[in-house]
Amino acid sequence: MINRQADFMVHFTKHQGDLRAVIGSMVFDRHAREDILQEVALVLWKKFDEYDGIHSFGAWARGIAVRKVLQSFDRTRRTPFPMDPETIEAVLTAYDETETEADEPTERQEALRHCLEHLPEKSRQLLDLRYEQELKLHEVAGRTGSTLDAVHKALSRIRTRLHDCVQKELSARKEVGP
Amino acid sequence: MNTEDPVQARIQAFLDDLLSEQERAALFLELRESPVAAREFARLTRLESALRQALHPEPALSLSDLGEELATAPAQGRWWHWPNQQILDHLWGPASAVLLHAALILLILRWALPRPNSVSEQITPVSLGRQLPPLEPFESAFPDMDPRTLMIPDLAYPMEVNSYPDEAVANAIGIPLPDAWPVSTLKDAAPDSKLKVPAVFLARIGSARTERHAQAAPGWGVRAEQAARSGLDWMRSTQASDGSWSEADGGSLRATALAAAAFLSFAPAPGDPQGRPALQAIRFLETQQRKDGRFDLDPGRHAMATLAFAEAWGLWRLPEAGARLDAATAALLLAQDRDGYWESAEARSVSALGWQAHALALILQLHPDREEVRLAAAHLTGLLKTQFDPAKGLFLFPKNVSPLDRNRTTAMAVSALQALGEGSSAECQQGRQFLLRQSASTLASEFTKAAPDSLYFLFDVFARRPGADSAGWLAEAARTVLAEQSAAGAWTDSENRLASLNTSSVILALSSHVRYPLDISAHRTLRSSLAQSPLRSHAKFCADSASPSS
Repeated sequence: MINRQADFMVHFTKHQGDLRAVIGSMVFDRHAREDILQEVALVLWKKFDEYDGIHSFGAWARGIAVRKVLQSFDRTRRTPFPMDPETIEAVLTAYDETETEADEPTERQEALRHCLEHLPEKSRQLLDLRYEQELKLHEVAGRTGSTLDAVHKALSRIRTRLHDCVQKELSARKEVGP
Repeated sequence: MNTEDPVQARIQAFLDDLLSEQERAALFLELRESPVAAREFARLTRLESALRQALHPEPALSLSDLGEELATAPAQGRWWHWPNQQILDHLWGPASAVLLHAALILLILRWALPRPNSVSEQITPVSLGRQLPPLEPFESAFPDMDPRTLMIPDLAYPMEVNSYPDEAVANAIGIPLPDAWPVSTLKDAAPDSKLKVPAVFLARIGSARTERHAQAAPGWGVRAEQAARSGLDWMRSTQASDGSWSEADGGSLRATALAAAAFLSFAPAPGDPQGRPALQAIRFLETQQRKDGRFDLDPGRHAMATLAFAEAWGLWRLPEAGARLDAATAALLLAQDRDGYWESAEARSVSALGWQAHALALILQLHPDREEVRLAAAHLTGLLKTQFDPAKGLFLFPKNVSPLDRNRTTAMAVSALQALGEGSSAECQQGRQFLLRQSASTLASEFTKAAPDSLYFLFDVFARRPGADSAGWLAEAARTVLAEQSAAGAWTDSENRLASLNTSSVILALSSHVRYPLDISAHRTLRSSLAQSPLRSHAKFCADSASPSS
């Protein structure tokens, strides 16, 4: 039992970031995202005996996460579900195909942290407002005295820059080796 | 990454929640049609999530936190665990309130409306009063006709149809209730020596069975038969005194229906070692049949029991079984909704559709003149085909999107369409190719434990339509399943317990090549009759019935 639990935790911890990403792509409310993630974790544990260890744990877990999101929308009925089944299917396939890129979550996080440290102060402040304080875009615009469009464009540029920086950082680390 | 790229720009706007409905729809279309765009979406959402986590670490489910949660969680799901917030939400949700009110109104109507007592001697048209979604080519051929006008022929044992939304209409048929359903006895069930085995079951017996092993299961058919017999020995040893088998969740109808079908795969006489347990199982099913013909409130389970009953009736012609089968068939047809689905307790269970298709197909083989069954079969065929995704070459049903679900739904849909005479359709061919691209051993192993009835559909897909491209694949699947048989002869469930439901399903799967005619030949008749517009013959049927001379 203990080994099984430890085995589960290894898998879950490794794919936790991906699960957050899948859930986050469909659910914009932070608390709802966290609730769903917890439910997913419990379902995965309860069904862990059904996992054969041969297939990708990530693909299996993401499938369950999507179902939980669907159930959550079905339950609350506050808003229509943002994605149709075919789009979900396409997105899940894309996650499966790009899973290897996210295989080393710790390294990726470290690379992102490194890149964040090297951002200009103004960009960092914008990210703080958007992600740390969790302000909506129009609230960020209000705080910074900019337009909505300008904030969106600035954030897009920062995300693009961060993405490229993380890729470079990961490549550099691979070249240096462990 | 290039911010000038319009796809990336749209994804970024989506992440900032700036897209209008139309722009969002355009983005989703792009994601569906372009794998590159979908991969970009995956990358960007990963980055977005990582940014959130880096800048505002959410209360992470750390190893220790989650460990506590796990320690308190049961190792396996206990859905009845009380209080379960999800169940409570569903119970008290607005939909439940509407349903409750509808049920109350129906209850009041049931007692308030007068109920005629006369027995109709004529075939009586019953309109379910629902509008169908457009179904080509039927509606274009008969634009003014209500395609849901069903024909319920008089029953030898009349039935009451109740508890359905169309209860008032159904009651207007004026069919009286039986005082009680008679239960057949072993004595009643003495085989009729003059009775010939219907053609649909011929491959289950004698040299035809041996030939079928060589034709459709080369290299594994004989071994599969030995394993199936040993599995049936185990099943016999675990049958309850009332003829039933129990499932892990405490139910017994599904396990008993599939067990009966598994025993009947050998076409035994009622007194044979394989026949006696099957007969006892059929007698148990009889005790479960309600006055309205249903074996169970769940249409999927009802379909399984109807299939088992149709097999027993076809093989043995038990007294009263024909009337029971008529009542069960009518109940099956009345429960089909306007989309072609059967509402299920398991929220439109996909595997239920497979059993419904197989039940309808067998009833049509036994009663080729049943127009109303043909209409329901044609409607189900239309529904299944609309679930085919030509871009991916597989069948997708809403809420069934995980890889396991995709394999299950595709196996079910292809098997169902084959049973309904559509095995040569492009949808079936592509569905088969999709399944062949999966690992046979993995799929067989997964299904054996986690989705046992899907294993039957999977084997049925290839065993009833043998081909050079699938022979090796099916043999590997069979080898995998055979290797998982326990020393006791049974197969285990996902909790590694020897389980009657899994064992019955595996026996059915291993016998799938002998259970019915192969898709390539004998279904030609059914296919051609279904290919004639059902409404065309149906319209004639209505006209004939309505004319004074009839």
